[in-house]
Amino acid sequence: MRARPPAIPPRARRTMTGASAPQVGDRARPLDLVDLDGQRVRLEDLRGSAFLLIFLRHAG
Amino acid sequence: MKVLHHRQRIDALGTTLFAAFDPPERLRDSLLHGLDVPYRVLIDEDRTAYRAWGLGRGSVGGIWGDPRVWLRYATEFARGARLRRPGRDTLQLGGDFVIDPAGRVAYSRPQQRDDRPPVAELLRALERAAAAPR
Repeated sequence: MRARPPAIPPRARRTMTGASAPQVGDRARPLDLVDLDGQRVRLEDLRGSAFLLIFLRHAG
Repeated sequence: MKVLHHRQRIDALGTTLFAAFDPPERLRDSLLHGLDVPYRVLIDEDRTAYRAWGLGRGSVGGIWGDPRVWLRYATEFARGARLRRPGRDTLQLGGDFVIDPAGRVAYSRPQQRDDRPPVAELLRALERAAAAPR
């Protein structure tokens, strides 16, 4: 039976583009977008509260 | 959007933001159709935020060659989910993060394939983040 390749450690994960996702302990990356109601949402507006940030895949 | 089933717990700890790259009308017609989403859905059509958070595109083999993807779709259809037209880029990867009150990343799980973490794992991370010193 062929041996499984080692799992990629979470801290070493990189995306297909080569850029790395933020790691635990890093400052959150910039976030400045408009929501479905047309309201602007910036990361700094959420300071003081914990939150889940979920990037969705395609809508289909 | 399985986190929606845990709204009470999430609201007690903080909140949830969704980010999507499909146009709003496409989202309303498909993913959000018939759903009551009490959280903000941010639109990132040019994927600036996706790139800033290190979320790229998967490979065709990595996404559509994974039998677990087909198994999941088959399970959802068997449960009555409706067949929808695919979004404009089925290879764009997503990711799940938890940010603490001080603005630091408390949990980071970028997708490498169709491998979203269990909701329970996200909720535990949110609990820890909410308890973190500010």
